Amino acid sequence: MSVSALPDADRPLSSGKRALILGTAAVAACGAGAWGGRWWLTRGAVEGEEAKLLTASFEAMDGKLTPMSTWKGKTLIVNFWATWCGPCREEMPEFVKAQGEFAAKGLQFVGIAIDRRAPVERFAKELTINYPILLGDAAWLEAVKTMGNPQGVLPFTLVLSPTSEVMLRRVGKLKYSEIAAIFT
Amino acid sequence: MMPVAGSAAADGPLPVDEAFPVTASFVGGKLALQVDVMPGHYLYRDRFEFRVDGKDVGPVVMPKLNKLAQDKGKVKNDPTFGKTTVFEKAVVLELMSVAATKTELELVFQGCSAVAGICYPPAKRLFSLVAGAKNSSPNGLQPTSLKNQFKPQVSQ
Repeated sequence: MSVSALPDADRPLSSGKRALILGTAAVAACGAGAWGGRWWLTRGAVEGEEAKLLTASFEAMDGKLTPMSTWKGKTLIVNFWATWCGPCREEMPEFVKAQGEFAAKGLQFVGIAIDRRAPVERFAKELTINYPILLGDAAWLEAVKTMGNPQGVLPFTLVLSPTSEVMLRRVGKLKYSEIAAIFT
Repeated sequence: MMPVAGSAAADGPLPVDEAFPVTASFVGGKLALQVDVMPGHYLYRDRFEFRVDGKDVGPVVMPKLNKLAQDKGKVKNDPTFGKTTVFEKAVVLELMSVAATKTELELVFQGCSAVAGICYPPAKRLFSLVAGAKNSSPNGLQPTSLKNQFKPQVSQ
């Protein structure tokens, strides 16, 4: 053999896929109003990497280290994104709209950019993002693989209840209507 | 068996090695790396990087050293980055000459799935070129399937 590749592969975790399917099913149920909008209370508390996420701190746009615990008690939507991800940028105007609409009902978006500071700052300014944008390193792309995103792709969004239970794991875009359904 | 793009919507995104399988071969003594693109996926032209023994040789469109073949790509109008060229079909990277007797090649690419509405992080692929490799194939052509043989690595 004249050309060889280095080294062997890691395959995706099946547990992550199961989590994703659970999340998808739960969203469908929520849309149908099956649990009167409080279906997530039947879900377990966060664990593993999700628990680490909620106790982690990230560098904010102002340079300050910001703990995720800042938003404890809120309905927290954590959106992993990057400027090099077209679908990520496309969904963010809907997040801005939802943050404005449902802040009074306890919604708090937090965007974690797996990216460099300069393009993130530029994009956040252009879009007039009305929620905190934090900078995450590439290691979080590995961590999200155990949160229901086995391929570590973006965008990836977690919706957490005020009691830190997972309401939704979404690989791909999250729509405004899905967010609105949580608060109506 | 090749994966079908339709599974991306039903079962989540394909693994990056299935969305963009990379194969390497020698054609007439020249190394060619082919990055296939599954239906419903695309690669960003400007996100390709290529290094030889750790030295950045610049964009893969750099003339003389290597080139992008197949098609010229499709221009998308990105609201943030303006006109952006993407490849929806296989991209062939042809290294015009490999002079060193022992060479490590590094390819970085980044793409997205239109069907799943997601983007993959930049993927890094490493190849080691063994001395005398160019003459090792009786026909001068020795395709080597590298699918599922390497660990995706993220670079920023």
